[in-house]
Amino acid sequence: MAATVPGGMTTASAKTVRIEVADLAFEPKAAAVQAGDTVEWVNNDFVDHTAMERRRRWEVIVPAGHAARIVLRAARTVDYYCRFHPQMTGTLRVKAR
Amino acid sequence: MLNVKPIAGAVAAAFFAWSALALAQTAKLMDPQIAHIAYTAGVIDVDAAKLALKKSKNRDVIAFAKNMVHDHEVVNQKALALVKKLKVIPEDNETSKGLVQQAKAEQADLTKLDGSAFDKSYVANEVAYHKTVNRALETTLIPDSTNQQLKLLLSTGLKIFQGHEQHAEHLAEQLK
Repeated sequence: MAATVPGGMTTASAKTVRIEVADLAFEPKAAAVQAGDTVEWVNNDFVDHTAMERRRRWEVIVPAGHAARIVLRAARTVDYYCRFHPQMTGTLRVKAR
Repeated sequence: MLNVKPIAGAVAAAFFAWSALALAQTAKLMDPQIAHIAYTAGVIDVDAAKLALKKSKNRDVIAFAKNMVHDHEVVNQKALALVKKLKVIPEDNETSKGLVQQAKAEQADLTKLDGSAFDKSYVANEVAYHKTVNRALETTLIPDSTNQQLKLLLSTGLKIFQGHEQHAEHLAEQLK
């Protein structure tokens, strides 16, 4: 799927990386992402979860039975956790496109 | 025999108060009693959270309390649906009665507090309460339950409540 950036140029193959949330765990726990990709958490549990970046730079609320997403633009390794259930942790390895 | 790590004053006091109840019932528990205890424990935390929502002005405490209401209510809804499906009638027992009695005493103390004193006390109690409930789930309620669906729901509940314990601990650190 192509994504459009300012100036009208398209980037090649910005994609959506899906993370399943089930039984109070993120799967995959560690995911490889390219800058500009969308990360989508899909919550299969019956309680709400969040994905909060360890330094609190961003947080995505993922209600029970729903999905939520964020576009990551900076190339770096991001550790995150669920603020409501902090034993749930994950890592996103964001590489430059 | 409880293996108690050194924990900060308010949490320690609350932990001992709740822990005494966990030992109150020495006979093996049956599924109707286990269902009653688990449900009662959830209702107690919802009530405590609703008090926090009335009294706290702290954004993070309010967010925590809202999550307590949501999570414990939804687990209790699942529990009610399950006992109805299994045709199990939850049975009151000494542990449930003790939890309710202790909760009333705790509510009475918390109601007298305001501001940061309330926030710290509420959160300290939440840490201690969840430690006690989680220990009871791990060592007694889950092992003693015989119905596999009840056991599974309690196990899922334990994971959720372990998260609450950690969330409360993080919050307690923030409030110092």
